[in-house]
This record gives sequence, structure tokens and C-alpha cells, in this order.
Amino acid sequence: MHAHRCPDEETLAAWFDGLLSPAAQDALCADLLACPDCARLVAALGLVLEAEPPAAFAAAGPVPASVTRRALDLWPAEPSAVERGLRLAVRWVQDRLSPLADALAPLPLAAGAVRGAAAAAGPQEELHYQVQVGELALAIDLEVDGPDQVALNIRPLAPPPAGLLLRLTADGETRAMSSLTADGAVLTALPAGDYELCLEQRGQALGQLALTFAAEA
Amino acid sequence: MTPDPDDADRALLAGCVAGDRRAWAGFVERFTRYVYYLVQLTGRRYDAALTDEEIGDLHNDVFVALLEDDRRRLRAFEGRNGCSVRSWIRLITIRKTVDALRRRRVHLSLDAEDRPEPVAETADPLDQLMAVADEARRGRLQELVAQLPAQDQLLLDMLYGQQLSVEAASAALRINRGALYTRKTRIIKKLRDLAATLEASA
Repeated sequence: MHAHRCPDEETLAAWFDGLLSPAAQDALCADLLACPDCARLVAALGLVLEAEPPAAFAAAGPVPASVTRRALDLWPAEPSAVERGLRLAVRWVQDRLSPLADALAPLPLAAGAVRGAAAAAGPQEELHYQVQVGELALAIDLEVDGPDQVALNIRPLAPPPAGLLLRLTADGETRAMSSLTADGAVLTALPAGDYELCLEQRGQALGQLALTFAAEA
Repeated sequence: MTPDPDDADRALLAGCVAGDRRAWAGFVERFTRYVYYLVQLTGRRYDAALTDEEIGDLHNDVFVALLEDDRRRLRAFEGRNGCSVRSWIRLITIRKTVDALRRRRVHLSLDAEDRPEPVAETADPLDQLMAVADEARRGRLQELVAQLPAQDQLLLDMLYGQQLSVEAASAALRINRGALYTRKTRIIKKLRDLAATLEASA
């Protein structure tokens, strides 16, 4: 059986530009034979590419300045003097999450509100916090998302302004990014480590929160 | 000698990978209009009636995709097989838009039943062959098909396995409709030759 791997974007781009060698073409065809989803994607891509001649782009209209601005502002904001004294820290205890002593305390909840737990004290499958990041009040729910992985569900407690971006960084590198709308944002499959959750608007840092997911002691 | 525009694109990409904010600004300015056009084109092709807000969001999603996971996609670009940055951006943009349309449950017309082909005056011998109902004969046919070149197998799979339209299969294989029909004719001859060769050696 052909060991299939979904073709990457460079390979597909080269395919449609007629740049693949015969051997590479055969390899791509074998991959598409092994994956109907990939084959249908290639068909969908091909139909778009042949929809208009390449010269049609020259007559295309301008891009709204706000659209380009939004893309420009995706670049990580420069480090700011925003205070980072707030820290939310949990550690793993036998497939549950338990707050570390020197961090925010989770909200006390009725026992029945926490899945699979008898009381709010001790390790839980879910921990719930309310924090202030910049001028925005957020509800942050932490949930066990798999072995040694945490999911973050972040919800504004009031309708947020437009153009908010949540950026999760570790060691200065962006690990995840999501727009923050009234529906909130979900960041999943986060392994143990130290993170910073940054709230930005149009390239400006509004606030930061330190997050620690410690491995089981 | 005219400078290759891809050289400038690659230089900007390298700057982005190196963490140069100005390179990102140059990269966005260079591709913003192209990405915007491609999102609109994809929406037009699939009659999706995208609003300006949706086009703006999809435009943004493309650039987010380039930066996420510490610029993983930008870092991974190698230009293999002579792939240009521009072609690569084109592919990413159309793919993201197609994926978004699918999530919106916009029907992407790929199947033969969506675009019925005109009835041929004479029956297509490959159509007749692939429609064989007898299980033993079908198994035999599959053995013969497996000996065809990969591109021929893919053509057969798209038309008869996945029931894609001739238009969709042609687009996927980068050939025009006439060339697809020529290939079908060639494939039937090959299958007959293969069958005859096997029978002769039996």
C-alpha cells in the first residue's frame, strides 16, 4: 500500500505551474490516489486557477487600506513596559489540574459544576478564573485536553472592541494566535511550559498575563 | 538582464524569517492585492457571494497562516521544484478560501452529477469498460489498471471512482477537455494491450 502523505503547498504550486519532474508527478499522483480528500482539493484548486486568465489580475481593483493595515499589524508587537505581575499557574496532578500556591486562585464553584470532581478543592479537570488583562475582563477556563496538555478557553466578560488579537508566546516565540471576539477564543493542546498571553490591538500590546503549566511534581 | 521578481520575494521572505519587521511590511505590501484578488476570484468561481468583511477576514487568515507557530510556513519554504514565492502564496490563499467555503457549506461543484456532460453520439468504450458489473471481470480490470502509469490511474479514479466531472478532473490534471478525452482513448488501448499480453503469456 502506498504510504500516503498529503502533498504540501510547494508541491501543489509546482504541480499547477508544470514544474514537477516526471518522477515527482508520479509521486504526487500516487499520493492523490491514496487520498480522495487531497484529490478533490486539487480539483477544487485547479478549477479556481483556470477560472480567469493570469492577466485578469492586472485589472483587479485596489485593496482597502484597513485590510492591508490589519495584515501589517499581525507582526508581534515590540516588548512594552506593560506590567506582568499577574500570573496564572497550575500543575498536573494525576491527569488533573491543580493551582500552584503562588498564583491566582481559581473561582470557587459548586461541586456539581466541575466535571468528575467531588469538590472545588484539590486537582480538577477544569479550573476557572477571571482576570483583568489591560482594560479587558476575561474569563479563562483551563481544561485537561489530553495527556499533559491543557486547553484554554478565553471569553471576554463584556463586548470587546474590534481588532483584538490574542497571542500566546513562549521564550519570545509565538506559539498560537487568535482573534478575540465576543465568542471568545480557544487554544488547545498546550503542553507543559511557561507562556505569556498577550492581548494586542492593531500592533499595540494592551496587557499580558503569565501562564505556567507545570509538569507533575 | 531583467531581475527575477522571485529573487526580491525570496529576500523579503528571508527577512521575515530573520525577524525583520520591515521585511514583513514589504512582504505584505507586495502580496496584499494579489491575496485579496485571489480570495475574490475563489468566491466568484464558487458563486459564494462573499461580503467585503468576509474577503477581508480571509485575506487576514492567509497572513496569519504565514506567521503562526513562529512563522512556521515562512521558515519551511524552500522553493523546491522551482516553486516561486508568488505561486506558493497563490496556492495557500486559494486553499484557505476553499477550506473556508467548505466550512460555510458552500457547495463546491466537482461531481459529474452537478455538471452533466452532453451525451456522446457513440458510447465511450472506457465508460462501458469501467461500468462492468461482473465482479470477476472487475477484479481483473483492477489488476490491469494497477499496471498503468500513476497519472492514468489517477484520471480513472477521478472520473470513475470519485465521480468527478470532466471539468474538475481536467482542472486537477492541468489538461484541457480535449486532451482528457484523448487520454481516455489511449488508456483503453493500453488496457486492451495489457489484457492481450497477459492472455498470450498465460
